[in-house]
Amino acid sequence: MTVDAYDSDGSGGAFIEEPPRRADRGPDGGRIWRWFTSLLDAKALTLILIVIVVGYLAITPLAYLLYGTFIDDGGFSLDSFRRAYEFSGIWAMVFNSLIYAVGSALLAFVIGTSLAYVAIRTNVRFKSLLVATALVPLIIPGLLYAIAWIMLSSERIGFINQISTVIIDRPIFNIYSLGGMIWVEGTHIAPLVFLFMAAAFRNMDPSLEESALVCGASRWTMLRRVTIPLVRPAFTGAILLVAVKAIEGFEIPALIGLPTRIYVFTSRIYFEVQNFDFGAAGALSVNLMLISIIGVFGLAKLRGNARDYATVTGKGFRPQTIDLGRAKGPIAAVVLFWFILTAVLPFLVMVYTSFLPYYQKFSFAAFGKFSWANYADLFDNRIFLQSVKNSLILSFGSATVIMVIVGIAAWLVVRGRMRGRGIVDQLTFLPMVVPGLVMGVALSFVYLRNPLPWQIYGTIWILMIAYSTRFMPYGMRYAVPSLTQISPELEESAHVAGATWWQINRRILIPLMIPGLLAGWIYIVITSIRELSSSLLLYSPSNEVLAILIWIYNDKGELTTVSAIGVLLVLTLIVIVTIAYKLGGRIGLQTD
Amino acid sequence: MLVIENLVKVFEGEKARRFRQKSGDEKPSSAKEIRAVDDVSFEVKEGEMFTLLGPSGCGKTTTLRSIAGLERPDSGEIRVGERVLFSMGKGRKIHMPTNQRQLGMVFQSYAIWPHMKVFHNVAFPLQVMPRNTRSSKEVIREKVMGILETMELTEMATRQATKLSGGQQQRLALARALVIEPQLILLDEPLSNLDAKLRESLRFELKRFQRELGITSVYVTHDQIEALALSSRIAVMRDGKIMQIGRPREIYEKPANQFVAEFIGTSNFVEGIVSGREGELLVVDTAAGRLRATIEATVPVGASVILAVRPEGIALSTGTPTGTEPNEWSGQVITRSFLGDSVVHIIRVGEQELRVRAPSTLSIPEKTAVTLRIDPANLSVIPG
Repeated sequence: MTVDAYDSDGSGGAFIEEPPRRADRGPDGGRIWRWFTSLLDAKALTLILIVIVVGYLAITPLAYLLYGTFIDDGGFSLDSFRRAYEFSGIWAMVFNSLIYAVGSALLAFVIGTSLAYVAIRTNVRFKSLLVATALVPLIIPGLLYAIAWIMLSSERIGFINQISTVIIDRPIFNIYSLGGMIWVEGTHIAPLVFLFMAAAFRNMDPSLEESALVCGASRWTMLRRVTIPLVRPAFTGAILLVAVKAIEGFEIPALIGLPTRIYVFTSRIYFEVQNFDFGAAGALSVNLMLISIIGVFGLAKLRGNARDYATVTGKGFRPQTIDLGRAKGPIAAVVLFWFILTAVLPFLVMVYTSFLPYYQKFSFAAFGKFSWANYADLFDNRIFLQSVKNSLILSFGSATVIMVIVGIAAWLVVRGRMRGRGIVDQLTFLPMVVPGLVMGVALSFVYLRNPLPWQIYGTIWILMIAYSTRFMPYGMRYAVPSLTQISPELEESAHVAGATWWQINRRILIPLMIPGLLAGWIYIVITSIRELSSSLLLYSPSNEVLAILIWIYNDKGELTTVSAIGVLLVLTLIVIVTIAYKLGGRIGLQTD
Repeated sequence: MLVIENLVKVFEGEKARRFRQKSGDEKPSSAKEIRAVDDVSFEVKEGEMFTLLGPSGCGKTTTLRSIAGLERPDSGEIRVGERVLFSMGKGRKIHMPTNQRQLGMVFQSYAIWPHMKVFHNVAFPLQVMPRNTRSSKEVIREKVMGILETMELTEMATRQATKLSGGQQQRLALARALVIEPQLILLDEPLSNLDAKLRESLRFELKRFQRELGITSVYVTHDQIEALALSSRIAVMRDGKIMQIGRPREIYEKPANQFVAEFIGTSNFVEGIVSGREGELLVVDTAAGRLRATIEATVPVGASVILAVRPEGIALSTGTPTGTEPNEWSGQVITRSFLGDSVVHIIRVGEQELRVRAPSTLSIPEKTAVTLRIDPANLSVIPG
């Protein structure tokens, strides 16, 4: 029996001079025997191990979540749903969630689409600024963005309200409201729409628009009858995408909504967990997940249909740009204003606060009290240093674990011929439908009952498992294309040249996949270093990560410390994102 | 040298569907499985360039991949010299893994590893040999530089493999296939991704290397001109079966059936019934008149046959038949088109339209009455 055969048509392992099948093995004896011995083969062992790991990561949280929610005292029960929905504000919560998701999706859509159209199809000034603002969500995590906006626009001491009080003698902006939440969420996810729509506008064949003009249509008619119908699938996709993001988002509803008891699904789940009603938290989680599943499947379906619009998804064109004429100046001003509002101001307010001895209104007198004390204190703070270490271990560790797993899983899905490989593909994408907070709830269900022989709960490993599960789909998104773009002939020629499966992997496949895997690795590092929503339910003292530390200090009202940590985190992320861009820039946008 | 006996490969399910799509078969009612290679047998002699020729989906690539071990056939036998690479349904069960077959292969895309230098691409087959047979580093170096010199790539050894021109890439792919001195090399449409000009010059280069080094090769192509120009012998395939095996001239001049005649260039076909023999000429009555064809085989009187003649096998002149030559027909020019090196005329003879290729100096206006003369040696007789 030959091991490590690279069997491209997958009809089983190679065999040489196999003895004739013995009658007592039955008609299928030979086949079963061959299957059994192929298990001893190193390649098969690797693949089976990966299937088990992926299956374990993807399925256990959901299974325990459903079990913990529906099974009470050993029997099926809907009691947890009753408890979850009993409280009097339930309809307000559902209504708020709806308004919040739709509102921030629409806000993000209007801003993102207009900026994308302006950036791609017109000769606007400051185009590079627009592209830079698209990176803001990667660099300023939602947690910090929300805190920065609280500092900018809380009713009494917010900087923006200070200005408005001077001008019109009253505050114009109350951040602690549903409107405030929508504003912060909407502007934070608008860049997602920007990137989505920019791709759609860039890929649209300009001759379709030109022929409308030649036919005698005015620019407005062209926009209405040709451009908009052509990008309509992208419209729906973008709105759905950001609506799902908004309803899954935790940081902003928690930071802005909780203090004034404006609940949405995610913040209500957190509230239930804090009251130790895990059943009710599970029930709400199951509901939230259902909404998210509908959204994700809608998106997948839409992406399928969108293929019919060949002009939108086809090859790139060089679109002809529209001359803005007299509008050029005002539109450039709007672009500049947008950049200052969503990138410069939030960062500056953090920098300003980080130098203050205690948090106070903006004043020029405060500059006199500036010192490095907050930063110096951080480096004397054992918990801070420990959490930096934890964050680095967790983000580097989970990125490495994920890329190894998805590298092999991608091979299995793209190149393997194993039956049921489609299921592996589905499994790696399954965590996509689980919002971060729900993943936290589900994993605490799992490891409070612990199916593994080692202690997981209360250690750093539970966070490692959480990150590895949550970000596995993102890793897969990088690994699959990096493999599909390698022609199978490169492997086949190595095989004909005499290389075994391991030699092909080591010398051909892995070196060629490395750029794609590295891009995915960096993306996961960037995403996991600021992870909050799962960590919050799973961390234990001495296992804090940076995001948790920010959360804790914010809770205590120590905004100067929060700002110092925030500035350091943002600067670190700027460095990593810049490196990623220098390395080839195949990096996407935060989808967290 | 290479012997293939009764090779069969059946595709099922998804693979069958993809294969069918490739061969342009759109019948949705077709069976779930497809016989991509259907009882194929042939033998390639030492030093030969043997070509598998046919339209896409005819099974030629599947046959080649079966020799390499990249596909596993369902039954039949493949032997190279004394070594049995595959055997199934002939009293023994053997399927040697691809990496132990010690063959050379040149792929359609050349499959040059982009992350390696030229030298390392060529050294790879030597470096991955099992440890007990692997040569030392110095011997590997010597062998690689030797084959690079043969392929005129010595200066390129330290270049990144992706920085080579089309011609150099082909030589690199050949060098890599030949470095282990295989008994047999397999070439899978190596010229099909190139533009027409480069293709022609590389075709000559390929032929020169093959003849000079005397390498036994199996070549797969769908391009009949390439096959005619390169091969020692050709097997024309269709729907998984071999339609004819022969030397290029035989295939071109004496196609065994209508498919081969049509596939190798454009032919005119005239149906008729054998009415007798005049010495070495077979007499055939057709709707447009009597034709005489040179053929050695005996065909019974009364048998229905198809006569094939190539457009350049018909001589064209203005005026009326002289009545002295064997195959003379009168007809009328329907249309003509100038192709640079020749002028193609469509001539109506009775109910039949014939395509006639005339030298570019001869261009006859439409509706002119003309005389066609067909040399009996230019007519092939295909059983009807």
